[in-house]
Amino acid sequence: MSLEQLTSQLSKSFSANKYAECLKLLTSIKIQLIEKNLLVPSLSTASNPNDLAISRSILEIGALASINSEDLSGFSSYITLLTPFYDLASLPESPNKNKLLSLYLLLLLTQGDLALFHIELERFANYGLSVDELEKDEYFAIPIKFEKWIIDGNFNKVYELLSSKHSFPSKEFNLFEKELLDSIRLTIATNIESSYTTLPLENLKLLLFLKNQADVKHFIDEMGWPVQNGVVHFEKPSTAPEDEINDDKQIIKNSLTYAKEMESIV
Amino acid sequence: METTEPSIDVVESKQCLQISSRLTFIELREFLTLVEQSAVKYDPRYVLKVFRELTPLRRELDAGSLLKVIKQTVPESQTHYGNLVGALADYDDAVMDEDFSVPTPRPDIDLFLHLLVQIFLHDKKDFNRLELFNQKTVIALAQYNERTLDHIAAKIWFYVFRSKEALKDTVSIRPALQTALRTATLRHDNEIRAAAITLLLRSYLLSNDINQAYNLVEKTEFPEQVTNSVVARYYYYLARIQTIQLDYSSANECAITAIRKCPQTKSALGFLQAATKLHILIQLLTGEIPELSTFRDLALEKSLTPYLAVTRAVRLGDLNLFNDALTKYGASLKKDTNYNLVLRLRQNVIKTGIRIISLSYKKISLKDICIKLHLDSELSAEYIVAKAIKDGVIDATIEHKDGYMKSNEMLDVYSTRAPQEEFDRRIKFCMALNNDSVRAMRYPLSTNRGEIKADVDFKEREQEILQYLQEDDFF
Repeated sequence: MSLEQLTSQLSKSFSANKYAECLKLLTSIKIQLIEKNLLVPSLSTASNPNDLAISRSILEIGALASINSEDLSGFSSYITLLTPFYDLASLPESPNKNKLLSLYLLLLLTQGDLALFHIELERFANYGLSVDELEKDEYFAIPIKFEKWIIDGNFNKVYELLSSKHSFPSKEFNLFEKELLDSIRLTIATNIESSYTTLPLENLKLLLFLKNQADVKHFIDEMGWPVQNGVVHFEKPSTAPEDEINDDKQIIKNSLTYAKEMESIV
Repeated sequence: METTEPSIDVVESKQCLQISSRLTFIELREFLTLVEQSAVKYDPRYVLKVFRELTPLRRELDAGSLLKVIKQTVPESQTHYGNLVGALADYDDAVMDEDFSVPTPRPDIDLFLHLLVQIFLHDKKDFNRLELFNQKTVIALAQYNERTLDHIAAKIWFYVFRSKEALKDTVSIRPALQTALRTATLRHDNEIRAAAITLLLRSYLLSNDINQAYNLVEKTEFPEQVTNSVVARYYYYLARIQTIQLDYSSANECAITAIRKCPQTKSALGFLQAATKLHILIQLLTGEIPELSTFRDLALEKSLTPYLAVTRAVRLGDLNLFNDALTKYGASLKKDTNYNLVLRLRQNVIKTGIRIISLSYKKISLKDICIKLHLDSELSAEYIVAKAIKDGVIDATIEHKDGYMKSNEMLDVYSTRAPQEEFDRRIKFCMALNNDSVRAMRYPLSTNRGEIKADVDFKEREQEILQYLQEDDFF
């Protein structure tokens, strides 16, 4: 099949939401793109903006298809492929750009990769956009808001927004709900571990946004927290006496080193 | 050596040059001698001395004397002659007809002349011509394989990059720099290595490719014991990268090192300003308030005004004041590429608030925290306090049953081993300093000790270098 036929078939099955079919088609399309030297924009292909725009839209379909079929690593690799296309000044801006990039930011958040999240945000300075300008965009507002809340520790805001399934400008954003919840749940758990001495199970359920006791039990087992009479105990390691013994040895060792050094100076 | 150096009398008899130009010329000749010395004796100190003296001379550098030096040192038959003279063609005011028959110069001299032409074109702001010349220079650089070229070549790369940056195209230079870095690493040319790494980092940061920059830092090892100004630059870029990645504590250390290593001269003021700005932001982001005296430094005071306003807002925890500062100084913060970092500070207002509360109350109900910090619910307050405890902002525990936060007793630090460790760290630092100083001392080689005694001239020069080293005003 030629590239044109494949592409038209791809857009057909994409608009029919047949994502698995899309992904199957994309493999052979990508091979053809590589053969035509269009998968990565280079100096020789930059003169042909039409071709590049087409391969960009193919890759965008690929990204959307893989995220809809919950293939997250596939999605990231499509974004990596798309980045050089978005950096090209010669192409007209794609309508999907903001949506895809903000989905990517959300993905980074769910993976807890805040460093990369900020690195990506910084890249927007190339387009002359600062973070507060980005926040005015309906797509970018979502990941940026989430990140703010997570950094603040304002987790119930995240939960509220996630549990009210309305506000997202596109359906793909809902796909992250579970992942994002799981990841903040884990963060909350480690926070709780260090800030409470005891906590009743009922409260724990509330704090972790868990639905029923079985979930709570499962979670506690995973974290390995001891439970007594419906109250979770968080042990703090206390190692004071052992420290002191080591201390003596350390001091003697240090003093000996100093003495040796002093001797070599004198 | 004598053959490359026609006696200065010949020059003086010409008397067609102006006095200043002639002085420049004489000084340039002196530089060449020093560069040669450096190569012969394998002692980079001579080259360093030349670089020091180059700074005041730069203003007086004129095409006439530069050309004259070139004509006297490089034979016409060599291709580099054409490159060097060609680059200066339009500036040639004093036409000279006489020819010198000279042997091919040492690589050091040849490259040093390239460097001089680069500096000349750079100071004349003729970047297009510099760009053309640079292409030839890079080819010339690749021809030589001498360890003594290290310092000169590093400087040449700096100017190659400068011209690219002035033409706003730092991407196309990356492959050349990467090749240079690779070759320099294999040959242990530490100066070139350091220069190439910092220039690449700069290139990546200019196009906001933080990830690339981070990868470079990860994959390369920055050489020790290279010129201080390059080290300072490296640490500054490192601090930037780490700040963007939210690794504030290491960023803080790097920023401090950058400021400390920064040369204490007027020409480095721009760098000092940039580094100080970054340091202030890092301090604020970690929840510290920078000392007021930082802002009072005469040389920095003016450029730090926006940062003072931001600091005030954060210190008072006042969001309105913060927004005022943003609107008022937004443009200048954007110019410093620090705007996004300043925006992050908005979140720190809450952190600072919690910290102040924890310091002033022994026990406080979550509801009161909620009111004090203008949060919407007690639940929010509970999460936020828990996070603050986990992040080590405060030392406290939450009693969920009664709904209050209890600050832990301030531990007496002298009952822990912290002072002991700190003391140990400082002693070790002093020891290392002493050892390094002993190792850094120079002794004349025992073989030619007799010679040196007779050589008064050498002694003088040695003394001179010593003096320059002490002044420590390296560009």
